[in-house]
Amino acid sequence: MSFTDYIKKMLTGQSRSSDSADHAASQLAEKSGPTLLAIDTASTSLTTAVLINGEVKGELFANMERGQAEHLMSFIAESLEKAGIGFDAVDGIAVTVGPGAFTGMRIGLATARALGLARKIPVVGVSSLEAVAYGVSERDQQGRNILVALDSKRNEIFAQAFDGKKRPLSTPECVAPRQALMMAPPGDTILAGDATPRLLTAAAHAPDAFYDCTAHSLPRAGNVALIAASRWESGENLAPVPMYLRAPDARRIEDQGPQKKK
Amino acid sequence: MIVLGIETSCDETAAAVVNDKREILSNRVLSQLDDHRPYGGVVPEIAARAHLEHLDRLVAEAMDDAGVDFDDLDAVACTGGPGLIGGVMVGTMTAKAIAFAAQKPFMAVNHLEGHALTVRLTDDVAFPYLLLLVSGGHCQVLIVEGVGRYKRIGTTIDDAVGEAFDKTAKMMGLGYPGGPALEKIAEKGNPNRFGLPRPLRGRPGCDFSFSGLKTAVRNYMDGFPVEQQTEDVKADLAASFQRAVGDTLIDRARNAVFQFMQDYPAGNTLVLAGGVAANKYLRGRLVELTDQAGMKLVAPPLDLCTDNAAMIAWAGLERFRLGERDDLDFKPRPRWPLDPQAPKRPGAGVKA
Ligand SMILES: Nc1ncnc2c1ncn2[C@@H]1O[C@H](COP(=O)(O)OP(=O)(O)O)[C@@H](O)[C@H]1O
Ligand SMILES: [Mg+2]
Repeated sequence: MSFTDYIKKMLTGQSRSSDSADHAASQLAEKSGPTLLAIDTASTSLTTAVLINGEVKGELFANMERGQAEHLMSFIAESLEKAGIGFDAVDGIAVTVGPGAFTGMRIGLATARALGLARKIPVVGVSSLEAVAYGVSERDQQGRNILVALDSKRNEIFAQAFDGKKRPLSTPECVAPRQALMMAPPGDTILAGDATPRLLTAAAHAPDAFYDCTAHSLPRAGNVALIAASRWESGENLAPVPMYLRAPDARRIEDQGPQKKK
Repeated sequence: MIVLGIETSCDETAAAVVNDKREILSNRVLSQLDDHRPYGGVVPEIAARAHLEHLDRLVAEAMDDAGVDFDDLDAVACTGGPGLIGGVMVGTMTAKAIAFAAQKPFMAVNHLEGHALTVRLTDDVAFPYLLLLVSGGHCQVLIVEGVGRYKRIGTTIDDAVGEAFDKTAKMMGLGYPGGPALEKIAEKGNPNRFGLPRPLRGRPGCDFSFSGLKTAVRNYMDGFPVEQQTEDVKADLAASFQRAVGDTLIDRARNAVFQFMQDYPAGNTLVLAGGVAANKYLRGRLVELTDQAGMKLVAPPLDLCTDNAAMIAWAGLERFRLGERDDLDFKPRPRWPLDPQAPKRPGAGVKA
């Protein structure tokens, strides 16, 4: 398969190359599920992990507002090393597609897509909101709905509601905290994500309906890998395109008014 | 020796493959002009989004065109700066990831070094040479002594030449990018109709300044009621502006040539690079100067004057064969002067 064909396939979502399918088949005897490298730089953190035989290995996590571009490759190398495999043993890449910090999202996505291109292996995109929801424990959740909210560095937040089985109840949106509260059906709701404090403030009128929980407030690469593996099995490898949810700030010429005098 | 190059520092997404026989095996460039046109200039966030959307496909196409596999490469090079950081990040991470996956050396190239060394790819020009780099974002005079050895002897202290063309054209309602449009209507205009300043003319040194010129054009435009801003007025103003730019440019370049001759008696080439090299009038003026000085004017073909990835691959190759390598923890650099010794200029920003 030529690179161009490969990319076309990847963009249309049918990204499994026959090469890696053969490879996977030959290893099927001793292996359960794909070996994945997962990366997330879409929030204010850098996290990488490897999934082998359904188990998360070598997960690294660091809070990081800046510097992801410098540290990502060494995190990847360290995760692989801790997991005891080389990059050539990886069947696919899992990467968060946001919503989150635009530059951070692009750092992860550019890296993941290029790793996939160079090795001709599939790249699976995972929503950051979904990854945070995935991290809420059974014990915390007890079948209740989850509302995940991530910081956007603006007045709005990125939010999405999930049901007791972590299935989406809404689409991901960029909304004000008060609007986000309406995304889950009425009733007890678990809050997760790094914008939880803002939701709690907005929910001051209903202190008995919204609960904080002990889940990580940002995605973990291990969970990103697990979500990607579940998609992998069902064959729905989403083309990894960024989920911006907000248009770029820019004014068209006709709205720019008279030129500033300098 | 084969090197893949990636360029994403402004509004072109590009990937190319070159070898050490000075052959360009492939050269893909995707211009984002149409994406930015409604905004009258490059919008950094729109540019960054477009780079991510298209870059991996362009790399794949460049590899296909060249008929090489990642295993065949000797190094992977990208623009590591200077430029719009969102785009530089996309290109840098793409190059790092390919280098990591294919286990090849990674080269972070200074975009300006790409422009500076292009004539060695296209025309095999020997060191040292004098370089006039004039584009939308850059405006400087450099003596190129060798790979990685640059002496900046002049820079703009406000706008870059291309920027002055673009802003002036925007004021006159000529659309974006303004350079080519302005040159076109200037052909029909009278360059003597409007008196405009020749900033810094007659002063020692090789620095440039264009913002006063732009302001003077604005004042003329403001002096005409809208209904009198006819095509004729605009053509005359454009021609007068272009003539003034030419006079200033030649005056400054003359000082540069003089200094170069003195310090490098063996040097005999003036290299013109950057998008403004497309301007035929300015090229003509510079040929007059080099003819007078007994020097050669060399300008790469136009598609290699404007932003492209072949120049990045080539600069990466030149550094690679001298034994240089960069680490995968390289930090993209929005600012990255070619000559760190050169004094900072007020207002010059990344253009320095
Ligand atoms: N014929 C021309 N006359 C004057 N300026 C021109 C002409 N053609 C292109 N330009 C200018 O060149 C610049 C684009 O060149 P490029 O090398 O891509 O610059 P950069 O990448 O630094 O913005 C623009 O500012 C454009 O107006
Ligand atoms: Mg350009």
